[in-house]
Amino acid sequence: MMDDGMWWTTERRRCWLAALRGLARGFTYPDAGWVATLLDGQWPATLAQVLEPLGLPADGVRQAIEALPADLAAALQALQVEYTYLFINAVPRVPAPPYASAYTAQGLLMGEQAEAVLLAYRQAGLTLAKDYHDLPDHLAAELEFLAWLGEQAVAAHEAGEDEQAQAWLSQQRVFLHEQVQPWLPTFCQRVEEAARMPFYRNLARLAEPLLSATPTLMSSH
Amino acid sequence: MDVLDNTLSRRQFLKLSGATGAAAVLGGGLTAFVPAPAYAAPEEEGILYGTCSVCSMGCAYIAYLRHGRIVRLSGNPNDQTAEGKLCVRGYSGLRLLYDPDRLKYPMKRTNPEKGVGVDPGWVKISWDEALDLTASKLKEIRDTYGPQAIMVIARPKDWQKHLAKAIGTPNHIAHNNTCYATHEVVWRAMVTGKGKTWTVDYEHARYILAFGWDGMGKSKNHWGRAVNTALANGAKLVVFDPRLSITAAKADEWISIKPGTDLAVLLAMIRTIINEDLYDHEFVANHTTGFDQLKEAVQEYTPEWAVGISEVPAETIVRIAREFATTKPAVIAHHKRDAGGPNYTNAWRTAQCFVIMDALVGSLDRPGGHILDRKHKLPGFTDVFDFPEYPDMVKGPRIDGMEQFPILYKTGKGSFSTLAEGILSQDPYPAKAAVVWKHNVLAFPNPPRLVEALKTLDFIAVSDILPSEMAQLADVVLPDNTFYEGSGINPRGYHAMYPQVALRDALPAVHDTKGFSGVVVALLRKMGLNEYVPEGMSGGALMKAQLEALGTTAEEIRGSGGMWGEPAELKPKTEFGTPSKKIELYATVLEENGYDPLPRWAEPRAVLSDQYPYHLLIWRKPWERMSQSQNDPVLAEFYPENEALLHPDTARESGIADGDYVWVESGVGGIKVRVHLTQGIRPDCVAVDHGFGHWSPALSVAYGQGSNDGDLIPNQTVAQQLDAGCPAMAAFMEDVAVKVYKA
Repeated sequence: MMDDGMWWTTERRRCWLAALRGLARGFTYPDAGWVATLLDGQWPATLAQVLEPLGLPADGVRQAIEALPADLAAALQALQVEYTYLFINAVPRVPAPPYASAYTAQGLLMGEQAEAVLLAYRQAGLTLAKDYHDLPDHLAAELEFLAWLGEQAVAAHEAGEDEQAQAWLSQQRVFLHEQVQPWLPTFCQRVEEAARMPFYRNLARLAEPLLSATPTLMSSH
Repeated sequence: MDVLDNTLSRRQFLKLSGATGAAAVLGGGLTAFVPAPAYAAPEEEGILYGTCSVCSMGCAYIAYLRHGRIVRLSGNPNDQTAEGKLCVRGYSGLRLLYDPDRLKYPMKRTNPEKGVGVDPGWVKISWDEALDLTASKLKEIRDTYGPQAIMVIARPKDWQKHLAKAIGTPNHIAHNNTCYATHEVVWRAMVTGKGKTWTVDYEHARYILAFGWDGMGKSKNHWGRAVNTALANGAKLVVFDPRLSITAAKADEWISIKPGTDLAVLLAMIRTIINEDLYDHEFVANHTTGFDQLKEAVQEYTPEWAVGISEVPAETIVRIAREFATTKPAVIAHHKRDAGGPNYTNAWRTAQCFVIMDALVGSLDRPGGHILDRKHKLPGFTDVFDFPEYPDMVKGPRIDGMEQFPILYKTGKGSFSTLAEGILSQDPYPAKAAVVWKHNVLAFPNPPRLVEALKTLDFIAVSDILPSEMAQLADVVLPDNTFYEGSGINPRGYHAMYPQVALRDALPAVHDTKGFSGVVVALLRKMGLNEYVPEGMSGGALMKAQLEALGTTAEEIRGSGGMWGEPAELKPKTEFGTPSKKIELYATVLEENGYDPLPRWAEPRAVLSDQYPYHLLIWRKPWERMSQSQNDPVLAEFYPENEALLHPDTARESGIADGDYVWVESGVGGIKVRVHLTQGIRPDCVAVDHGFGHWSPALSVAYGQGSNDGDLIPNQTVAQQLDAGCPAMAAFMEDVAVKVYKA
């Protein structure tokens, strides 16, 4: 898939980061504005365009979107009910809590993982926004953070500050390896098993290859 | 629809906007982050002061924070109540705070069908939408049917009462008649003119006599240690209980009494103390009324008479009565669901005897006895906020019929047991909606009947922490804060001598939750009831006014270790809150309201028969605290399901072995539980512990574990309540006969 043994051009890296941003949005609670971009084709088409140079298929997500009701309100409701079921509160139980802490032995929220990612955000010069209203180790926040780190690296590289770029990349690698990869496969597996409609299942199928990138592939040259 | 039809080719796309533009499209502009000063310290630490609300004792804790997360709890050593210790339930609180099953966002149901095993089809909504939806439904129902069609089902606290009264409904339904309403009514009539006191100076008592009281077994932190201190100092503890409770196990004597007959023993003891002239003449003469009438009334209750009823030997009754009266200070231990709690039809009379026993030995508001409320008087809700005195409130009948029980009615502490029939019979009128705060279906007698009743309502909003059974029935779910996530000051009522005020610092809410005060303010505003929401009305404003009244600040209290107030010497009261200003052994308030002013023997409701040959006993494990602890994976690991305690002889007769599953059945329902054989129970009893049998699948730990004792307890009609003649509308939670057979 992504392990093509070639250097990542800056453009490809940007495609990867854009895909991470897309996943972050996908794993955030659906609102009308975003669902409209699913239905009008803008979001899936853009996703397809950034996935193609990464050698990843976009068909699954596209078909899942095609399977949504054409009416915006109906599609929104379907996605919101599914999101609430998979990730927030559900009967019989939330199948795939989107929090790293939920995948530890005790499974309590706000575990050491939450603390560790909060520290990583703070060390990178970020903190959670006041209106964010969710836990630090939510998958969407972690994905957005990964994308942001990569964007800092690209910007530094373009400004000729390769040393700084390497530092950002190093942070990104460590975060991916220590904070995301340990729980992501289990999370994706649970979404795969529990999803009642194809959308989140197909997002999860993209998440795995996009986030299993090796450090080599993430280095600049 | 082919989503690629109307898009550009990749080449065009990259040329136009590049992948950076793609990131903007895909990310949809969302960001969880804002820039902050870069921060490199390995740990950011802090502490929060607070009081544990897993139970009502209010032990003060210190929460240790790292990066905004509570990593450790300890008792606050500056707290005279907890003395730096928390109980097992207190320490379990963090697993409630961080429970992955918690209600995290407001939600509404998308499945209109309601009931056991029905998936509500929740969908997350914003707080605005949740409150708009709730307010518009309540307003519509209020406009169409009148305010009385709306019920507020919640503990009778300030904000909850305000919501009901501002809406104008008399139907504020609360749990008290399953908990302590008998004590409340009796203390109001005989001693305080208000309600029951929670403070008992066990530490200085020399003789502690308990009837069904298991304060140590209920993990009451302060009491457990105070009683142990008393015992270490040579005090004697005597426990009457059909079950060898944890308190009984620590006692000098455990007397295995027949359930529902404590009243007979107490009447005989009172007679003994009076007739043998062992009572405290000074106290009785100066601080009580009605002694002569009492003396006359108890003459028929000889110890020999009590034997036949209670199966306690006469010489034991006499000996303990003498010891109690001659060992000073002596006190009758009582709290909530003990023999004087609302467990038996005659329990309110037992509660009368408790007060009389304390009065006879001079232990009311004296060291080593029951101490009347000495909490710091903080400005209350109506002192701080200016609003009309509810001119539009509907007076008159209530759905639970409480207005027909005038003493209880004045306490505002309503009835769980009559609610279901009130709703289903639409008598005195139809109920259409409920706002529920943290009261769960399983706490009611006969919960299946309540579910039937609640299903007939047009609208239910539930504020809770966990996805309880009540939340399963909700149209709108309003996720509540845990006590860690709310601020305030807590005057607390359990320590006899040192009523320190404790500061409560708030941890920022872990999820998108809102405390109930915020819900009340928003709902009333959105319902257009603005006159009841003066500018600036909030929990914070209340706290500010209370701190000002104490002449201190939160910062100052933090500086003194989270506690405010110095130990004070107890100045015994010489006036009480009754019409005569004395403790009324002959209770005129009871008499004026049509009840016996003096204690009198009355049979309990449950009569054993061939069909139902055992008494039902209900108790609680020390680590259980109903909905606050039931979904805790650690507690569940060492005690996953509840048990039926049976005497080995009883089991042998029925061919039941230890560990077998049995059906316990009353005339109302049946539950399947595992048997634990013990010598520590009378052979004519079955004891089941409370806190199990959850059918909300969203409680992933508690779901399907054990059974709920409430399924065995009859609910009531108001007519049945009137017939039973208890002034406290007690739900008679243990006055139930059952049978047991192997499953």
